Amino acid sequence: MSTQLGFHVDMEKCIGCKACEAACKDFYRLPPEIRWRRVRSFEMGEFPTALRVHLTLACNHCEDPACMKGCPVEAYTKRADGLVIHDPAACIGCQYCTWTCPYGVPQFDPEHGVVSKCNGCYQLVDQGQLPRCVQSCLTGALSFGERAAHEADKRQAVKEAPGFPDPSVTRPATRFAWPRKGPQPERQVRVAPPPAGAERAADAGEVR
Amino acid sequence: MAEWLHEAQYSLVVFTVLIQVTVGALWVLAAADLQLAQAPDAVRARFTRLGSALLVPVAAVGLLFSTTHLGRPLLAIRALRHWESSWMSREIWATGLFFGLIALYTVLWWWRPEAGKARRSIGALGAVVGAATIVTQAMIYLIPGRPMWNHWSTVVLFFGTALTLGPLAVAALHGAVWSGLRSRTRAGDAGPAEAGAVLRTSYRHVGPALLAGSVVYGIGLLARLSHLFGGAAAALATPGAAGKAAVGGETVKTALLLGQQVVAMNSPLLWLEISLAVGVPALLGVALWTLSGQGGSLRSCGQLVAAGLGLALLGNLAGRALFYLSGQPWF
Repeated sequence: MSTQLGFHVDMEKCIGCKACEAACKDFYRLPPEIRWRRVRSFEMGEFPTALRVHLTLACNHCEDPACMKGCPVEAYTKRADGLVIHDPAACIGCQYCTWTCPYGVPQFDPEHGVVSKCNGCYQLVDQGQLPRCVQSCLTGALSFGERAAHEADKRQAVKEAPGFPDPSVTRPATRFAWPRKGPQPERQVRVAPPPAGAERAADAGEVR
Repeated sequence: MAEWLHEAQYSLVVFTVLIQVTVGALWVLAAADLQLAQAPDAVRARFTRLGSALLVPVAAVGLLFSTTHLGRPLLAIRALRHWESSWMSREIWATGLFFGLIALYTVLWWWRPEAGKARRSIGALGAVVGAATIVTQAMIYLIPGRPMWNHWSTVVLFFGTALTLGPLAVAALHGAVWSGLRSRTRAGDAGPAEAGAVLRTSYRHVGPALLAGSVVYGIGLLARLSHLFGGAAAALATPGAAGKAAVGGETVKTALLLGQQVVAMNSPLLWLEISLAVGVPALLGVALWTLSGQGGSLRSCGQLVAAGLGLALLGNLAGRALFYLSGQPWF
């Protein structure tokens, strides 16, 4: 099985505090208008069972990244571990990747004239650490590791989430656990039943 | 205003429209040139040669505007790298090749007029590469990331611009040249009369071309509006789609609803597009066909064509701005 690192988002646990957003911005000293990780809040379900849910998203490190395919200057590369990396030195600021990515991940920084995006904190990952956003998550809603491990170990690991664009286009590595209440996903993605205590171990941090 | 212009991608509006004008103009000139090979006519050849003078300047202005879209324009040449999978790279290749061919075509007309066979071959090749350039331009926007653009109507609209504005630009230049020629000639000179006859024939050909072009543009616009408005209606009927909580493929409806809302908010642009980019060329096509056929005044025809070009260009710029505005980030 090929390696593919990615995030897992447990919407039941996310409280929308945006600590992940802030940690990312602080670590990379991002300009005010650039947010490599973004927390979106919206309603799902219908009255009287409507819920307010939060969806925290950064780059989905897709298996078939539209940003990389469309980039005219080859500023994107996909590492052997599946992380999609953008090189600002190669970028000419054409902003085409901001159109081709269905998830609005690459963002244009007019001050520097280039696009930037979440690189999965690959420099931390290479040192055996977790991305900053995962480290900062207060509730353990955000985790990072092998996509296959998420699918095997988590309470739920589906490709689709409310509001999240069609994953069949670029095959994102991010997996989701929906809120326990309210509408539930139509398709479950799980490569193996979770072993006893696996979820607790996975939720404690790194699952690689 | 500056923010609005940025959102409307003014640099890409000017770039795409002007390149499409140039492609359409080359189609007309290359076709006339091929006809000249069958039936040589010095006056018609002169008009065709004069028409070729607009190709390079119009395309050059368009290319100049395209670089203002870039964050680092001095590195624009790097965009040629990824032609294997990037439609943007392919567009730059196609546009560059097209520009080279129109430059060569113009040089041959003005400095080697005797090399008719080579010129006609370059013109025909340029016409084909021009069509490919429009296809590559349109393919850039056929992306799932922006469902508002991801529709076949984008290709049709881009061709519609070339088919209406190209012939109109050539006809307007010819009208201006004839008008200048007429004001400079003395009594008894046969030149303007011969030129007038050629211009009348040219207007008679341009009329149906404009009508066909406006039908193509109209079909594209109708399909695009039906794509947006149909998607918006479907979004309102889908639980969660209007509140950005749709799931999977249903999220496309959310994007189309947003696109439709942007079009509704900028409805003056839509009305300008309908009336000036479709209506004006259609009416002008009928008027030119009728006036030139019934021996109407060439001066009136020339004035109509000049005014029509200005209005149709404005309509196309408004429509293209609306196209870019409607393709907003939606997630």
